[in-house]
Amino acid sequence: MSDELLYLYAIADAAASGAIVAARLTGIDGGRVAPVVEGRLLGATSVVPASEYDEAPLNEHLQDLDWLAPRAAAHQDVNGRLLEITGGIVPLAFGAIYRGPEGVRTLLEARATDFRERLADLDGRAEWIVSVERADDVPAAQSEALRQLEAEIADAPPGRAFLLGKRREDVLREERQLSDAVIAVEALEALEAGAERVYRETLIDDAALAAVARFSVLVDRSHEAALRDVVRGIERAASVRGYRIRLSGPWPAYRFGGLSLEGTLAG
Amino acid sequence: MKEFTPADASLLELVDRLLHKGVVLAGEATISVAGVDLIYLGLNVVLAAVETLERAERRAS
Repeated sequence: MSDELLYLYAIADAAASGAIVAARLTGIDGGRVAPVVEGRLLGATSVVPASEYDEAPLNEHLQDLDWLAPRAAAHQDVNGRLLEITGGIVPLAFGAIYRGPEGVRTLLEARATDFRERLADLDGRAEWIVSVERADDVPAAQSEALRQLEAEIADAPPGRAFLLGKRREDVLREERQLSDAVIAVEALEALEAGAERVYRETLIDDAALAAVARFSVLVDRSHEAALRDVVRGIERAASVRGYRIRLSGPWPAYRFGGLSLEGTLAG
Repeated sequence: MKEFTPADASLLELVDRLLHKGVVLAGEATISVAGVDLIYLGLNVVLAAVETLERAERRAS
């Protein structure tokens, strides 16, 4: 058994093979990125040591963030460069590893039609992440119900003030949940009007986290300025209600490259 | 509006994008990051790669 394995970053059109070789990209652990061509597709790969990347050590390493962090960054660096060089890739998730080029060719051949359709779908486009977050430094708008409760609390004897205080907490929480839901829907509608595809990501259910909603958005590279305008519009409406917006990109299509071709909306 | 490039992404964001997404083949596992956030790791690709490896090895033998 060989002591070297092949790490697979992404699938691209075979026509980009020469450009990828010419770019002399450095991959994970310093390996040179090389295309493995099969038919009209290529897999962008680099050699990694079996001692680190065979199934058992890899599964162990995946739980070690100190090990994972620089390699995840290298994976993304390669895919970011490949996106610029080729104009469109199907990026793979971290950790697609093969014994050698034959395994990559088998994958490319077996899923050729699917990969070609995905590439056509992603060509000339990039993925952006739009996050709606609660801004701690901006107080949420005070409702009439809350103002009344606070006035009552100010005038009430201690026992009743305590109960009203509890009530106030409940109302605050309910109003915040409603406000979060409304802003998320407004952002979704604005993005759907301005982007080619939108996917609402599932969030970790944790009240302490600032994120209220997160969207993956696919846009043509020529429409990125328009996306920024849409996001600025969302922020104008959101900031007065105690939210801020983060925009991150351009990413290779990690989300949309992996979705079924029909499925554009979920979550 | 704050705008970030992938090079500015936090580790959690990067790992979420790279391990939870990408071409999905099957299965996933959960790990704890710094004991706080739960994220889902795409061991799917590892498993799928293993399947491919097994097929390749069977062909070779």
